[in-house]
Amino acid sequence: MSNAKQKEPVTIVDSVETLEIRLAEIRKAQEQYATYTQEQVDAIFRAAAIAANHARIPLAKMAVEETGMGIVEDKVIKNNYAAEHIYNAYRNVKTCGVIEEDPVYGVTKIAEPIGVIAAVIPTTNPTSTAIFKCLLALKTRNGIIISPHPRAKASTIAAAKIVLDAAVKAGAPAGLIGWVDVPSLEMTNMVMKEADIILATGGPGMVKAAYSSGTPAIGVGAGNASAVIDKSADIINAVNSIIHSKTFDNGMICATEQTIIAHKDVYDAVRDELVKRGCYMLNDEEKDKIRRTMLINGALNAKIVGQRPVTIAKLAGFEVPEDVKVLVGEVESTSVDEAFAHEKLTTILALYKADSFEEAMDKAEQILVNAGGLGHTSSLWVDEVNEREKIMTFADRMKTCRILVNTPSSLGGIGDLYNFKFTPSLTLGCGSWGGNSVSENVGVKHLLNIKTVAERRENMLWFRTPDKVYFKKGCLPVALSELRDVLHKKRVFLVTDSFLYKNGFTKVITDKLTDMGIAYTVFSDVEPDPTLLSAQKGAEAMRSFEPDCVIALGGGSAMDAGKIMWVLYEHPEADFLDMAMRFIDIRKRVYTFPEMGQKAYFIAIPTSSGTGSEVTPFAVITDQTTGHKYPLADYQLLPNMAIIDTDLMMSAPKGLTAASGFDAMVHALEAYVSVMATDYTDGLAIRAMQLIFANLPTAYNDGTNVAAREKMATASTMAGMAFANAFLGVCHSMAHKLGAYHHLPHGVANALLLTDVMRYNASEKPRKMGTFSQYKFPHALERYCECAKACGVTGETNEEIFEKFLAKLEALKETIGIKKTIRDYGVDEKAFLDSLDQMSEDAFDDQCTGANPRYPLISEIRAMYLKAYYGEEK
Amino acid sequence: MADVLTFPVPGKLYFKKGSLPVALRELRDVYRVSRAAVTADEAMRHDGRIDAVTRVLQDLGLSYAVNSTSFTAEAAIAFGSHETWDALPETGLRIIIPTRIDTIGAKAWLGADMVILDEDVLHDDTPLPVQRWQILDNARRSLKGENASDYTLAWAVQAMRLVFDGDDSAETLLHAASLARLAYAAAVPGDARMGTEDLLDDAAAALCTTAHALEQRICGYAVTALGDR
Repeated sequence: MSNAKQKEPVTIVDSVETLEIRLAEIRKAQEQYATYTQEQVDAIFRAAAIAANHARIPLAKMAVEETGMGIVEDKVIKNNYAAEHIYNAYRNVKTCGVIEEDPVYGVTKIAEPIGVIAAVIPTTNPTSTAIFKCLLALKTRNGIIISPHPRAKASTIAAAKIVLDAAVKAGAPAGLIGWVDVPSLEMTNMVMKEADIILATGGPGMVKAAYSSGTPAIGVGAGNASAVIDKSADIINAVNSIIHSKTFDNGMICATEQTIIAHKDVYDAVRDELVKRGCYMLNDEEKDKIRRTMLINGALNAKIVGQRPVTIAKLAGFEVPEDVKVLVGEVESTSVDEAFAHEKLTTILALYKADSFEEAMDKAEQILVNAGGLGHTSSLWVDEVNEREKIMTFADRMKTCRILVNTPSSLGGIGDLYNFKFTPSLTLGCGSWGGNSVSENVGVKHLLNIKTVAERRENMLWFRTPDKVYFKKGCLPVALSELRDVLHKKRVFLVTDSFLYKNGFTKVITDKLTDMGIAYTVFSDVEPDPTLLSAQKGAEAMRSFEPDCVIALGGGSAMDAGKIMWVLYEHPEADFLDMAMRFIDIRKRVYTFPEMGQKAYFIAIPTSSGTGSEVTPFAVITDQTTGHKYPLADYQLLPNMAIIDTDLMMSAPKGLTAASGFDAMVHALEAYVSVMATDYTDGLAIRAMQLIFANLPTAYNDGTNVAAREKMATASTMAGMAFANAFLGVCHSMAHKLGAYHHLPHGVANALLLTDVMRYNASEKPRKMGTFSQYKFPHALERYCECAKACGVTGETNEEIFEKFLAKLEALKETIGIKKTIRDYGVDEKAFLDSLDQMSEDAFDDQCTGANPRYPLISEIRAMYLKAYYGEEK
Repeated sequence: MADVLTFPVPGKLYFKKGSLPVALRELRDVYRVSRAAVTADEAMRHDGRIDAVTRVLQDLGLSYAVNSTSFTAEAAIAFGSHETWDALPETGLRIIIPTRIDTIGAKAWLGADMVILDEDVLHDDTPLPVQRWQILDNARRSLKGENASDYTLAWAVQAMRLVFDGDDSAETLLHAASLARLAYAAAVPGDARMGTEDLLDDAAAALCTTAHALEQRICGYAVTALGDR
């Protein structure tokens, strides 16, 4: 075999070179193993667990003999546990391929192995930890390279070999599990660097090395558990459990109790029970001897780890009877200088006295901070029926990732023996407190890469409108009958503006209410841009009148004011700023709007055609002190009833007819091209546009024409229903701010901006598209053309149809007396330019912007404002 | 002539593929109910399609029973065809989840608090020509209803538009069918009394065609549907 490439099969890994070869073998085997099915893997996992279990006694004997620590019979339990409980915990867990599938939401999760695990095995639990880590690796399709502790290498490797042989026999690729036969610092470091993940069980130094290696690591920390015995505890149960836990394998499980902190009222009873059950209370001289023996240069003396008291005492220079189970040192100091405060990993306990529960927790905390063990384990003995709060107080205080109640902490901390929802594990994470990246008991999930496949889904959409929508000329009194006959209302609060009130518009309502014997009061102090102040005044009036029904009569201002008053009346505690907070998705918003309608039924009656506010979930209020407008949007604000009676629209003056009529047109257009448009809103929006083209000029020129007024009223409400569900767009955003800054009527502002916005939206290559799952690609041009065609526009190409549509809209504007530019309305040039930057930013920030098919840049909004001001590009 | 007209629609109309679990979440988060009584067609129980609903109720932590006469609940869910919708109790929260594009029984939708249209559970294996015809038929008849209005016309016309110009995707037909059905339910009173007016001319104008041409076109779909049977 002179070919340099063909190497001798490596039998012993005792050098960097042989380690390299072994690692390559493991990797190769793992690459093949990664293709195995869940079924194949589970068969191998089971076979390996069985084999490990069969070997539990020989491996236990080997471990004790080689390390000179622990007790064979207890190590047998550890080996058995590592095989049996781990197998049981994961036998049905999916770890290969698709582990989760949700076809409805379109999410699939796929589990893949990480690669090669570097497993650092301690000397305290060599065979059980080796079995544990190997089994986890097998279940997750990973390879594993074991770095044993020099003092326990033979037994560690023996355990690994048994698992490997069984796995291969059951079908695993040969060489999937490997180990370092002659461990050294250099090779441990290499193992850590070459692996894809490290499972590091050992002292803090080793764990730190793992985290510093550059490979993702799951480490553990040192334990230093205090068992706090509260005065309410069952002393006999507590002490015996602690002794049992402490003596298990001579105290070598990291979660085991290191100190007892007993409340002074039960201290003597604890002490007595300890002695009764075979523990030895050290005298002062003996304590000092132990101190000197326990810590050598501040570090735990390896010679005492996992030893029985008789051996420890001898090492320290005194004698105790052979059958003593635990050496107990009564101490007071919790400082780092007190050796008894440290982790002992052997059959030594410190015993502290505490004057109170608080003091006991203080001591436990101090011990962790001063002498190590943060993040690991703590335990509490307490009456869990009558003193439950103490459990939560303790849990709150202790910075440990395992908090065991009335449980022996070594056997309890490893999970599944004393609590069956506690993951069984021999690698116990200590969280950031212990310098770990894991704060729970380590299991299969930490050894997998999970891939999530997410398919595109569209947001659920909706169509909502008031419960009752009544329309027809003269329907108002008929609709109002329901107040008595169906709804049984007794007290009506009528909100309207002073103009409508003074001109007798409320008469038809108040007469009807009187007829029905319903009490009422009128609030008519509503301004054109309703303010928070007047809404608060109205709410106050409501609170003293205590209506069970609110009727808002008027244009957008009165209806909006009515809605806000209604909110303030029903929920005086609600925070305005929270309610007005911007959202991207109305169903996912941070703020939960309070439930409306608990005190009063809300009826909206429009007197213009119109804002559509009678069927929308929106209300805008101005803070009079800052001039800021707060848009509220929530379906809780949807009126319960809307009454659209043409009789109320008949006397609207020309200016109002034109402005509100065109506002309705913009509502319909914006709802149609909105990213949230649906077939339900489309149908209504298009019909609204058709009706407006056909009837607005007539309604404007001859306000007495009933048919035209009726159709306009219908169109306005229809457009309202459309945008109540599909929302609006940047035209309204800009119109809102234009109105706020330069006091143009809302409908006029919209009219002045519409065509420029339409051109902007219609771009086939917009700078940015609106973000909404159902809006797949820019197609506003196409959508505008659908509107155009429905309104009778014809043409050869979309571009042609679009231009003709714009011309048709411009013609309508001219017919109803809308001027051409913002400047034409007397807005001062300097004032306009001075406000431009802020106005553009505010428009961008308006809630309506989000539904625009084209997501605007502030500079683009600015440009549109300028164009609308001058009438040409500037 | 009536003194007043209304445009009744279901309290909440929710739709989109996959919307069922999202909409039902409101039972816990908005309505805060703890018990739901589900009425389902036997077929749904047999082939497990009912799981689409029960699994969600389980995840929400609600108690529920399927087709039980003795289970009292704050919410009633009708999952299936019109027989289940008609069986909804008068009081309490009423939710309809249709699984068939039935042409009848739409009135029940108007009384429901929530109607969920999810194509994951709403299938129709009726041949396409028949589906299209049924939609047009419903839409056409809604124009003659006693309570027909511009609102019902708007939806009837949209339904027709979708059949004439839309793609034949499941989603498009589902919405066209719903629009037509809702228009019919709102326009035609319970006793199916027809009004004296016929809004066909308005509908035709809305579609930029003549009444005659529109009738002809609809006829064409009827013929195709018949031919398909």
